[in-house]
Amino acid sequence: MTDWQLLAPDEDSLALADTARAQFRSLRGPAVMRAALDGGVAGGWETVAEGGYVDIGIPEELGGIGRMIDLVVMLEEAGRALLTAPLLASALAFRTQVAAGVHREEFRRAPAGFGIAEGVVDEGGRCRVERVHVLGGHGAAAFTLVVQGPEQVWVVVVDPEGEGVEAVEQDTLVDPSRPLPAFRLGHKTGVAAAEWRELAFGDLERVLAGARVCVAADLVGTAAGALDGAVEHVLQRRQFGRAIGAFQGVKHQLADAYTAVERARSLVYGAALSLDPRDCLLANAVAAETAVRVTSLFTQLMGAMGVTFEADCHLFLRRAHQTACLLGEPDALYLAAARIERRISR
Amino acid sequence: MTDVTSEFEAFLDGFLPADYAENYRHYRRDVKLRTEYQAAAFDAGWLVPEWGPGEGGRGLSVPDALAVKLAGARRRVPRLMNIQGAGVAAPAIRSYGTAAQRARLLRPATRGDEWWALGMSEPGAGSDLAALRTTATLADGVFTVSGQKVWTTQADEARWCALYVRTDPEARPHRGISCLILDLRSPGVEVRPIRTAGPAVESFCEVFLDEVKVPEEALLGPLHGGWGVAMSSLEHERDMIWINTWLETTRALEPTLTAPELSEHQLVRLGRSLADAEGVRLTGLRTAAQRWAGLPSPASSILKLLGSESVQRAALLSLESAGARAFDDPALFDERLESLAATIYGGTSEIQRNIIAERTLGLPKGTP
Repeated sequence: MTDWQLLAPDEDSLALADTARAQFRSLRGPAVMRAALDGGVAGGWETVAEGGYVDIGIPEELGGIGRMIDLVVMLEEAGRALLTAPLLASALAFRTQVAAGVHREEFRRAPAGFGIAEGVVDEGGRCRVERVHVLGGHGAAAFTLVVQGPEQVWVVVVDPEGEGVEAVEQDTLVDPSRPLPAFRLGHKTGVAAAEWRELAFGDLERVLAGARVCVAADLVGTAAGALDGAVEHVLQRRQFGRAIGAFQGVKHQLADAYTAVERARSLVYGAALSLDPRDCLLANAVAAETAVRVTSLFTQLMGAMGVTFEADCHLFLRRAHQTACLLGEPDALYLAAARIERRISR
Repeated sequence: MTDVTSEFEAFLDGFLPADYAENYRHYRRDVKLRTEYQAAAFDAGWLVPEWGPGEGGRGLSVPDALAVKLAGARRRVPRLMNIQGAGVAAPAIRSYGTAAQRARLLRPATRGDEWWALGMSEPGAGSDLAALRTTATLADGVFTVSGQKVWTTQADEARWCALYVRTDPEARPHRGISCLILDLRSPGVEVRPIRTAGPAVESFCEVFLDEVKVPEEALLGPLHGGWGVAMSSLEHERDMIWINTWLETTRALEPTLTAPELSEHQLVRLGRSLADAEGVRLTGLRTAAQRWAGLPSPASSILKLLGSESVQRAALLSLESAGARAFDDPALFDERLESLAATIYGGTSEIQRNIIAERTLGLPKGTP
């Protein structure tokens, strides 16, 4: 078997995707999401944990099962279902812990939060961060943070209940169904980390590689879900005596959206296999742009319905926009990838 | 690297000049080298590795053949001089040809000894190929062909033309078409080259056909079954063309990758083009992997769409990043112009979008 043959998910991966799709659909939903937007609480961690989803993509020696490609197809289904349970946050936390060498099996028994911020960690592992948005920050048993200092980077695991952790912003404006609350850590004396690892700045992208693949897979799923919704709508909505999907002005935009989703999916699968920093930056950037573009198109094709609370498209749009810049905005990622490639080429 | 690709690499080491990689830009337009490469690769069984010995191949499995083609792309093997001969006509002859047609035509078409033209477009039938009006009437074992073809690439240098003609005017448009193998030296054939907008754009021609006699034995595929021959041969091309467009995209990016200074904006654009190149490569590979595994795969039209648009963006970026230096380097503009042809030939991007919308997304047929 050559490497490229791994780009086709095997039977195990496909079975996993089917199971995840059915299970996530039962947890989803636009109804759950709308309730969350109105301030309801979104649960679902138990189902995710019992399904064994948090062990996927974790190396076997750390008690995990499955490969990166399995993690990708599973997170794609989560993104497609607009899952509100903190599965992506946990995947980001665990992948990053594994890459930094601070993972413990027990961390996977509870929901995790994940964030990236500027800050500093001292030699005793005390961490100071002025402001960090933590995905899955509500109800997380531990925060995994990538703290960027002027010359180094740290990966820390901290207890949200620990002394010195303050919630500074509870409201999430863009996508309240997957909250991104902000915290301040150790304003005065620092917060003691349960685990920490100092890395050279040049190691940042190596440590974030797996997290980028996870975010990108979630975004591809959201884009694919929006594409399905848009196609369904244009087949059913009639104007000028025919389904609006018959018009080339509509057809070509959807064909481009389909092409964009397939291209993004290819980049994500490729990045999952290589975990090369450049590949992961590109996959993250492309998936982010694709999700924003396809969810916007979904809104446009819905006509006036597109800007109502009742229509699903704003749920997809909110999810896409919030997730798209979670690990940096696309232009910054393209820039970083180009710099890596130029270093290799010159 | 597998054994088979290292054997292929050894063949390339023996064939290509020592400074080939370094001076690729020059060798890219070296007609003699390109002609000799095709013949040598055919003789050694590397040209179409999945075909049999004597056909330009060595009976490799699909994955091994793909590994060889990728290795070839990485080494930037010389481009074929007459791509539609080995890439489109030969597979059609191999699938649809009679024993006599295969014996006479397959080897020279694949090896590049005899060039081929594709007689598809007409003044009134471009994207709407089924509207073609060149007619052929069969009487006493001979077709009499009259009509006009246009945009016929390399017809002025080709020996043969896969000519699509209307043989049943009563049938629905795409049911009344046949494919004839036309000897371009036949009486009544007049070929007029069309001047292209720039030297890098491949030469194309008008072909006038005035009561040209074509023997019945030159029918390729079933009578009135030409549409199927056209679709399957174009599909064959679309399946593999991504390797070329990936190669062309990475090649077009080279000046930008090694340019001494770039603005942040140019770096962002470079990053996007790197994603383009990877998008083409990985979608091509994923399509091949899914087909090989017997799974549904992305529509092949997306490879045509992605590949051609990637080449265009990369050529635009190299031209624009060069700034005023482009005035002294004519190749940059020529390649930009050449890249604009990529979304037109082999089925325009608009047609690819219709195909994706109707066949893959299931949107209604027809084009209001």
